[in-house]
Amino acid sequence: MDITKLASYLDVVLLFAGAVALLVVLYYYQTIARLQKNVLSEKRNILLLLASGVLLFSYLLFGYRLLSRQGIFQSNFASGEDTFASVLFFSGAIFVLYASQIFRNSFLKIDREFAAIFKNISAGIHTVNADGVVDFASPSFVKLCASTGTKDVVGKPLSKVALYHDKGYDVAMRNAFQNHKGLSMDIPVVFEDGEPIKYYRVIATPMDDTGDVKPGRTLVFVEDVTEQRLLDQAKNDFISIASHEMRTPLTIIRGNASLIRDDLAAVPNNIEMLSMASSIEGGSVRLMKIVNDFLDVIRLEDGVARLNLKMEIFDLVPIIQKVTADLQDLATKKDLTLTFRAPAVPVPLVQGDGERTEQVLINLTMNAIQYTDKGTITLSVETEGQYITCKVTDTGVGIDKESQQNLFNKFGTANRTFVRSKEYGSGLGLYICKLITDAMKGHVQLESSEPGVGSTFSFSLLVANTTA
Amino acid sequence: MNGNHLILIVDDEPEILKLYSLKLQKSGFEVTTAENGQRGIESALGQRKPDLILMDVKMPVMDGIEAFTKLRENPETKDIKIVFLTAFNDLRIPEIDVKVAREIGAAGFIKKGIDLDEFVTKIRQVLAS
Repeated sequence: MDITKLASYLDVVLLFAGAVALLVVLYYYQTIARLQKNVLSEKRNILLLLASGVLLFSYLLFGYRLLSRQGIFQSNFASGEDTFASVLFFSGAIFVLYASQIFRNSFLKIDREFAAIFKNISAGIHTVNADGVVDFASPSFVKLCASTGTKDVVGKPLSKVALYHDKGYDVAMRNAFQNHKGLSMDIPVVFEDGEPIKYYRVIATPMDDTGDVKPGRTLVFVEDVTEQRLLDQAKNDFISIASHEMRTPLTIIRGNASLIRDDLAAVPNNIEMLSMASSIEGGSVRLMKIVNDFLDVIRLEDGVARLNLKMEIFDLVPIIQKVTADLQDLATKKDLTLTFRAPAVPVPLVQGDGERTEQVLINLTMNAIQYTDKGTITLSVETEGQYITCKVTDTGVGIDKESQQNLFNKFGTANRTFVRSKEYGSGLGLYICKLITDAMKGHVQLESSEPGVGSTFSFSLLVANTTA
Repeated sequence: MNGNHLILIVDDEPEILKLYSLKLQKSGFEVTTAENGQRGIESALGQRKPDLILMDVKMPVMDGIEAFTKLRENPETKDIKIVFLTAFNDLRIPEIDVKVAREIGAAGFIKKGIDLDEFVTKIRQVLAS
């Protein structure tokens, strides 16, 4: 077969392939437009446009070559002799226009769709720019602001938005946003027309893509959670009242059991009775601890109470010394050595609530004593960057990998043997530690643990005056 | 040595009164009781003044804080040491912690439900101070 003929066949095939590919691309655009899928990422848009451009170019090129070889025209485009080439060129241009139009429409359609959703969404949405000014707001947020005393909220700084400013929440928001941090809090909202107070949950997220606005913009989502709060409140009230009602009977049981125990101890040959009285006392002490934990959790989970945690500046070392001394008896009873390895260099002061910090350390140390049968429990303290970390290391049973996951969750004790361990109860101890340290802007964690070797738990608090 | 010390316990729970009375008596104290703040004041103004008052916070008729304030205003009772008995981990009533107790001039506070020997130790400490 003649080589030129073969080449022209090839050209025909390529011409067809080009046309088909172009149609596929067009079809794809239309599908986007029809389905109104999520907005494609910018990179992908550019690639699509480029691809269609390349395809169109090859289509025209091969068409031209094919036709010129067939002898349909020999001269150039500009000569005007060649209507077919012109038709080809123009139809190609129309293709491009058509494709880009569909492409554009697909986005306009998505825009319109977003706008419609935005207008109808009941939660308020707004953004705050790097200067702390509300620079965009959904109609529902504008309405919410209007009914709480702020007209035309867009363009106003947070401190001029009554919703946030009335109770001073704007300061917390401003601080978080300036540090590019998110925020989640429930705030009481007072309406101008005397409607009962409602609770709104404010969830803020720093924006990675800030649109046309300079970096440091934050997206804020404001949602009415009054009903949810009431339900939570009812549940908490129930637990709280139930727990409170248990306290007096528990005090009476514990006290009287100890009186009986004292009396029995004075009488010889009463070992069995004595141990029964001790059991009653021990049981009531355990129950008190559980009731206490329940009440603690309710209090700490309540955002308002959490804000009431003291933020004082204090020295961690005397607290560790005190806890080491206070729990010495408990450790000695189990033949364990409880020591505080005093730091070689002075430890900076920390900020937080001293009493609550002591509670965290007691919890961690009691746990260590609890789950250690022989060996040592060592408390230590060190500076780690802007945190002071206090570690509690034991030579106890350790925690397997699987159980390490939800150790700090509500009711998340390690494994079954942990839960059933004879003296421990509510499964709230570490969760309480987490609530407390979180509230003090610190953290608590399991540093390391190996079954049969031991565990190291630690908590860290911010060094005083290093933060704004 | 505690033989002469009279302690007044003010609490609306009869079982609590009984328990603490018994423990304090066994520890060598003399004890009188009252079931609310009003009665507590009356008792404190009686023939023999108590050396120390153990005062519950939440009570009917007159609560502990009000009774405390009234006792402080009266020259006859203003020097009696008053220790608040607080429910452990209380949520609903205003929390009386060491600081608050000190700020309003209480001699101390004791959480209900603590070990009874510890309870007696604390009372001895307050009396000795």
